[in-house]
Amino acid sequence: MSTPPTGCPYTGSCELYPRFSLKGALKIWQQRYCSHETQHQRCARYQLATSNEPVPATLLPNGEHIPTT
Amino acid sequence: MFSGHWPWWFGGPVFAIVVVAFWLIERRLFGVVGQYVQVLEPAQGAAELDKASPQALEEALRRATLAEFGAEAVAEMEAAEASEKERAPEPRRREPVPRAASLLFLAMLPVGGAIGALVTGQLALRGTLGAVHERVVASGPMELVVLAVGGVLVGVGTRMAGGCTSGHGLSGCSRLQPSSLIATASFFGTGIVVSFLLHALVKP
Repeated sequence: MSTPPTGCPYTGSCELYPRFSLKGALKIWQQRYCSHETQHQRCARYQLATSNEPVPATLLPNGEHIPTT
Repeated sequence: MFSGHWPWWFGGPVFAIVVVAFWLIERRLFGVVGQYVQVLEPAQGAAELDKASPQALEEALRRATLAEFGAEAVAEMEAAEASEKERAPEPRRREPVPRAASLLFLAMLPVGGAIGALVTGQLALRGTLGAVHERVVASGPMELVVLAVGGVLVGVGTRMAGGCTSGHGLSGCSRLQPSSLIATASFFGTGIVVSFLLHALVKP
C-alpha cells in the first residue's frame, strides 16, 4: 500500500484506503479525497482521526456509511 | 546437536533462508512486529467490513461511489484505468495476510525457541534471567515486574520505530534502508553499551 506524497496522513492506518484500490471506479475516492492536497481535510474519516475519535470502518469520506448487511 | 548457543555460522544462514523464503513465497518483508500488527490492528474495525462478503462489499462501495460522484465521473475513471492497464499490466496485487496465518506464525515463535533450546540441552522453565540479573537489576517478584515493564517498553519502542530486530535488522539492513541501518545501529549500540556497563558492575 503506497502513501500519497501529499494528502491524507492517515492512509497507512485507514481501513478503506486499500479497498479503494481494488477497482478503477473506486480509485476516484482516493483521487478526490485521500491523495488530494487540500480536499482530504473534508474527509469524514480524516476529521474523526484528527480529533482522536474512533473511526468506524464503514464510514465513507463523504460521511455516509457503507451498508454491510 | 550443539552445546551452549547455536554457532553463528549455523544461525546466520538459517535466518537468511527464512528471510529470503518469506520474500519468495509471500512477496513480503519478514518482520515479527508486522505479524503482531496484522493480528491486533484489524481488530480495531475491519471485522465490521469483513462481515459482508467481498462481492457484497464491492457492490455496496460501487453504489456509494456512483451516488457520490455520478455515473459519468465513474465511467471516466474506469476508462482511464483500462487504458493504463493496456499500457502497463497491473502488478500482482498483495492480498492481506489472513489473521490466522499471522497468529500461527506468532504461536510458532515459542515453539521454535523451545526446539532450539532442546537441541542445545538448555530447555528449562525459569522465572529469572539468572544470578547476574537478580543481583544488578531486581530479584523475586520485582524481577517479574521489571521484565513485564521491559517487555511493554520493547513493544512500544519497536512499534514507534516501525520494526524490530527482524524487520529492521534482517529485512531492512539487507536492503540497505537508511532508517533500518540507523534503527539497528541504535538498538544494538545501546545493547553493547549497556552490556559493558553491566559487566563493569558485576566485576568482582
